[in-house]
Amino acid sequence: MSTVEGHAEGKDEILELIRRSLPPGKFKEVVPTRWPRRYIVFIDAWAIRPVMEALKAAGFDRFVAIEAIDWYNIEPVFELLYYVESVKLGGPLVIVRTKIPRNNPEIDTIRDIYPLAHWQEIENYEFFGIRFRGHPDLRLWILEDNWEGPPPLRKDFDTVKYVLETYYGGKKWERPVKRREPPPPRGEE
Amino acid sequence: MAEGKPRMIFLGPQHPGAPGNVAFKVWLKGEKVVKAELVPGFLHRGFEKMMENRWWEVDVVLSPRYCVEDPDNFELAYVLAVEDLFGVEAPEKARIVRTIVAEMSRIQSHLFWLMHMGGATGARYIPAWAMAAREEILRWYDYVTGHRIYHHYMTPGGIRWNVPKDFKEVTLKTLNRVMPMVKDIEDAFVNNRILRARTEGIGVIKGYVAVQLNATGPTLRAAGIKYDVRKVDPYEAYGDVDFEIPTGTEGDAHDRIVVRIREIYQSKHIIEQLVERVKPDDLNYRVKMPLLPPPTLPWPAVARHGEGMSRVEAARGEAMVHVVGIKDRKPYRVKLITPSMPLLTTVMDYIIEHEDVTIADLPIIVMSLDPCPPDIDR
Repeated sequence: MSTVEGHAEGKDEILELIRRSLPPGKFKEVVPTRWPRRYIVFIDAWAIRPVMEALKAAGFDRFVAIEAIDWYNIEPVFELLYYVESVKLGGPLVIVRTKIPRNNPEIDTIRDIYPLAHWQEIENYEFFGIRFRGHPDLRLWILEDNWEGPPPLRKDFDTVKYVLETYYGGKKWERPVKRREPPPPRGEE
Repeated sequence: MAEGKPRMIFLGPQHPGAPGNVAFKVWLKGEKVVKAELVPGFLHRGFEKMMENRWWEVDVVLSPRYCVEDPDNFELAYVLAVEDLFGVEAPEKARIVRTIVAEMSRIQSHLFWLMHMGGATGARYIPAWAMAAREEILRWYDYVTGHRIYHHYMTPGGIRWNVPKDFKEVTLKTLNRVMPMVKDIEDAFVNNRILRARTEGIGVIKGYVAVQLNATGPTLRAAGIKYDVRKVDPYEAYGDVDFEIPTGTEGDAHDRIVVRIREIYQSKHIIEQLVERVKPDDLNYRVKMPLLPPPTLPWPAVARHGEGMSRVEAARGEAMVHVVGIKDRKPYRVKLITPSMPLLTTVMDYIIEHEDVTIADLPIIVMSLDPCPPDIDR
């Protein structure tokens, strides 16, 4: 394997590589950020699969995570951030950003391109209610058996209020306490 | 027993072979593991939502609590992300001390993991030795930060209070007490004939496959790939210290043990270099933070302002924190990206698919990956 100790590639080379390898017409903009060796690709939601495939082919081999941001009051969208980095090229990071409508949050799955995306998509499904088209196993995973409410990380949902009403009988500091009967004295049975 | 349908058993979360607060559904055919499915969520507390309801500086207290074993690296990730968002740069002294604290955290995390690993392989003396060595580091933490497990010593803008006057002497003394114990563990455990028979050739993730499985940290390095965020994207004081990235060749459970032990020595080497540069009399260890972050600009310029990001190498692998602020005392969104999820999902699936794993080997494989299950739940 190639070693990654040096910083052989210049900043612009990787930027050019990303621009060259992405399919034309399927992305809006590739921008360098104020962080060195981290780049952002803005795309439309329909282009997520070709863009991720092209990034993987270009050497961005390690998938890191999917992040969702609920821009509830500011704009009625969920913004999705796909983090991929390249071990082959020595550590540059690309964040693919896209937006999907808040009332119909759907996007294509990329679980067959990066294996970890399978689990990341389940996580975003349970915490934000985002549906990934083509994912066969969307279910409660981390919240399994513990949650019946709406997706808890959405901004319009007051988790604290819901938990107090549902699990604590509406009381914050005075949880209903069950008093135990004292055990029977020994030697009676 | 070996014939017929696989039988499902539930392993964990209280099982001594489970790596913490996590369980597995294991399908067995006789003794052979056919499939293992992760059941997380026993320690889900909703940190990302909780942090949205608290002030920026208060969230430091929450930031390390999803990994008991390696708190300071995650704390450092959050602190760096907030500094990045606010546009504040910590003084040099704070950066050096924070690096020392983070490296101590790496040593104690690896020692804690040695306890698990010794337990999983049945080497009963190793847990006691490893915990004795870790105790020395916890005492050092108590002395420097006032706490033993979660320290909250870092704060956006620097460190919370100055280091003690005899910081250098006590730090070196602590290392001098810990390192002989690590050497003992290495002699008695790593080269032990029984351990080698038990761990060599088990749980093999070799070469580029580790990257394709999106693994990170010592698992990736034991597979032979020289990748460490401290080198490829240096943060804090890592840019100007000299250290090596230990790598393995075979990528099996034994290689992962060796890599972690060698990482302990590298951490010691880093601390020894940095501790010389700490001046207790220097009072410039914290800068004042503004109350509100800069305003967020509209998309797509949002990418450049109004967001902070950090990327650190925690003891288990790469961790990232992404914070979004909208000119408020509280964060709008905090995303904690943690290293353990690929280890217990993609990597475990790969090992079980490609090897004859028996139920007796399963704890060894799980422990050698060293997951920190609460960071899957968060």
